Amino acid sequence: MSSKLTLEEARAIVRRAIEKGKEVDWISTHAVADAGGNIVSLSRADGAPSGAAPLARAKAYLAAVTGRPTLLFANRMDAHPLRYFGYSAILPKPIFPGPGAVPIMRDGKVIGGYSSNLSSNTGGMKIEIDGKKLSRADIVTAYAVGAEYLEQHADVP
Amino acid sequence: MSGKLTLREAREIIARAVEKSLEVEWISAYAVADGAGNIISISRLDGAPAAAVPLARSKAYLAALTGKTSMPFEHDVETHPVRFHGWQRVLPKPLFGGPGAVPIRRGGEVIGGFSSSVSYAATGMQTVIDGKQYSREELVTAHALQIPYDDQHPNQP
Repeated sequence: MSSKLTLEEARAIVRRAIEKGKEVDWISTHAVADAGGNIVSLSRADGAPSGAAPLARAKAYLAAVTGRPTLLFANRMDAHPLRYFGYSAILPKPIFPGPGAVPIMRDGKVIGGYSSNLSSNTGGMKIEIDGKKLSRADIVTAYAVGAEYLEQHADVP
Repeated sequence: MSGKLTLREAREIIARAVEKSLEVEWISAYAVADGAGNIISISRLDGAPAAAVPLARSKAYLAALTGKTSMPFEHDVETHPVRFHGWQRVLPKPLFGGPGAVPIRRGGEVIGGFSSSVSYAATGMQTVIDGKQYSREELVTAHALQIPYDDQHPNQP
């Protein structure tokens, strides 16, 4: 199998994200980028806020080019704000220092990035499942990219 | 009814805002944006500060794009200041990290944003009605959009 993310694979990720988004009420935009951070597929669910598209694109880009979940980047920029301006100056596309995006991995290698973003749901970020409070965005992400649930929005109610 | 906010609806919102603002002495500017944050109608009351116009426009834009009141945005960028620069980098129009704006919804979907802004009211933000303190700005917003009162300025005298 090629190490490159195909359009078919990207669309399958977005399709799963929209499916799970409906289930947990996370009505957002879903962006899939290749390893260089270039968008392969981006879809905005009916009813998602318009601001979700540029934010999802910027976060998917960041996850792809850093190869890490963006929570780590966000925490580091909070601790060292000047570095954000360094990254902004060095990287050619807009970046957003917020949590939620993940790299897409194959055989231990980064082949892309995925992110959703804002949602139009009115119930907030958290949803209770089996007595446990989980982040809607991170549930969608785990299902979409076939990864384990990773809580990136612990401080978002 | 169309999912889009019409000029007539936007002007009705502003007419109600002006009506209430005269009653509670919140002499400001009022902006109504569509779902993508583009202004449909904006009015500055006689005697309102000039700066109220760009501020109201910017906050209505943000509420429309995020589908939320501007309060959680303000809280997020106060807690993580570097994210404000991320937002500015990603979104094409100027942003303001302050409370008071609300999304306009129809059938659960975000169809726009509304905001007023600064006022020359000499007596401050709070007013007392039936022995209870209220924010003048949110009284105007609730009446303008016919939504429940939601205080976004609890700490502002």
